[in-house]
Amino acid sequence: MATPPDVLAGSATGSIYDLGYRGYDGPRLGRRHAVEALFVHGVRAVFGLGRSGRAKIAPLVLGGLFALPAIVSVGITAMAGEAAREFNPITIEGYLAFTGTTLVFFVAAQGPELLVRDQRHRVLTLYFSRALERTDYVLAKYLALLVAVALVLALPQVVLLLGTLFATPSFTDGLAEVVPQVWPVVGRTVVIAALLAGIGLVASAFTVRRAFAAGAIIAVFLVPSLVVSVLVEEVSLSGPAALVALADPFALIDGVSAFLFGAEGSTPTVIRSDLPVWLFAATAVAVCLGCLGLLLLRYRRITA
Amino acid sequence: MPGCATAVPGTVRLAASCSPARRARLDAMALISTRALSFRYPGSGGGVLALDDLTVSIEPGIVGLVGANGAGKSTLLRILLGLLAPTAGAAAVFDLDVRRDGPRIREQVGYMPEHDVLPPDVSATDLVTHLAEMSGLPRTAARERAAEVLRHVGLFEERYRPIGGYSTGMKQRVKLAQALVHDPRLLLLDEPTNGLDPAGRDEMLDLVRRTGTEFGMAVIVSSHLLGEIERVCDHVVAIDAGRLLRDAPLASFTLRTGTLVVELDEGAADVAADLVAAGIAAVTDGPRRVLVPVADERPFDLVRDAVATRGLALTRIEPARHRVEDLFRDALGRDEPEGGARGDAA
Repeated sequence: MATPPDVLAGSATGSIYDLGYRGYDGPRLGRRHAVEALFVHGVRAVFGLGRSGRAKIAPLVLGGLFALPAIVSVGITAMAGEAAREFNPITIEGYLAFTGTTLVFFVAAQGPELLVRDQRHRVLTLYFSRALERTDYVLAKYLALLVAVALVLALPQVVLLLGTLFATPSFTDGLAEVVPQVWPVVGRTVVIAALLAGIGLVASAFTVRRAFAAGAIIAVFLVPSLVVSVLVEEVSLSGPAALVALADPFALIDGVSAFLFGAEGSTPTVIRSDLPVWLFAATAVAVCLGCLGLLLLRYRRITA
Repeated sequence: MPGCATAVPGTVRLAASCSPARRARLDAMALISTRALSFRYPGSGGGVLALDDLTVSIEPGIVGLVGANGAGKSTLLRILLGLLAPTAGAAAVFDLDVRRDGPRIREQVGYMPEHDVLPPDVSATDLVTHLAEMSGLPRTAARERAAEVLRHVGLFEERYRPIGGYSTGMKQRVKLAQALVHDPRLLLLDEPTNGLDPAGRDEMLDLVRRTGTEFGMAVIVSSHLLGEIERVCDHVVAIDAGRLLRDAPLASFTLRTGTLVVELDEGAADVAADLVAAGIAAVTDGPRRVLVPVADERPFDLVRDAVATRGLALTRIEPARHRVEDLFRDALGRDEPEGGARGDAA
């Protein structure tokens, strides 16, 4: 039972806040609830929810920029009618081939938020002195960034699917076109979000500065992509040397899309390397698992 | 043998407001026990030995953990939480092994770390609510508990502002609040008065004392200032260079090391001579101070009589301030050869 508030128990120094300490006899939901709460907290943090207004600008702008081509495309199709569809360069399969960079910037801007803060201000001590395990912390954070990136990734795709559904003359035709695309869209959203989240978190786990983490994320995506595209284009690799194409993260993203949509690759690297698209998709999954492994290792060792 | 001391059960002092169930729960077992516990921080040249064959048993109550900086206090607390794995030996909290049952121990323990651990860009309310959820409390309960403990530690309107703008005293209160928010059975406070001004120290110590007594929560407070420990604790565990120095109820140990400082305008030597004649081993400390060992009430009367018969002017009588160094000197003094040998070995 709680002790009654002892308002008058002020000492000579007169502590006016002495209301007595009261215990807690309510439910304790344990570790599972802690992990769920940390996950929700993480997703909100990526979008700047529960933070100042300024923290919401970057995710809104970058998320909006990423979805903008889809919105414009659907708008034009709606106004120009069915005829415009043939000339529309924006297809759902190839959407990421030219908007992928925006998504990388989103991850670079918002991903480090999840890990860097806790390390920089040593909040990890407060987490790890509770029921929460280190593995729980990593999984909750990974899942949070994965889901947040997936939401951003899903928005333009949903817009494009709805656009197709309502732009086709008959609703049944539209449905016939859209339904087969649902699973590839869901599949690639999950795998690509996992890839971006994994790389984003690994880059954030070893620094206490957001700017370093953001720079590392951008570098990991852009530098290999540039090098590989030059190699593939100029040297025209063949045979085992073509495997270097797998080092380009954008090629992996494109490979995942192509594999799931049963299509050809959209980026020059994937097309010219002449490797099967499943190899890119499989590498993407392997990189996700590798990142998760690295994170678990890192947080097992980190001192809190 | 200071290195492998036997455990002296501590006094359990619980407030009347403590519920019988809680009291029974606390009385049931040794709260903390360590057996030949050692911890070595990895590093070049064999690393640093932070705990060295430490065997101690701690009973519920308010227990002070004293030692100089670097004596191994923080290391011990972190091992008890399962944040560090012992290099050798064993430790148990609530009869749970720290190596195996870390999560179950941490569920029931509140920990206030020594260093700054608060993110500057969130409010105290948001942080403490979040951490309450991290301890497994449902969202609504977490919010209520956060408000309650923040009020308990004395944070009101400020708690909605970002922590970055807080004073050191307010930050220390937030750190205490997050340790209390899930109503733990045991509170581990690592140097809670660190960085506080004298008034802040008094308030923090008062808060610790009240938290321990009002609800009978077991508390372990570490400090390098014995004066602080004396004010709030029932029991003292002193460690030095990772070894157990003393483990005793506060009362017994003040009696043994108790010294009275008598300050006079003049004639200290005369008073000391009178006391020595009466069988008290008083010594002078300069021309105006006499140090009188106190084992019972007798010296007080003798000092009064000596000063009165000689017509001297008495400036003040006060207990000598104990510092950790006194403890060490005393321990070494009692076991001279042992202490010396240990010093060489280290």
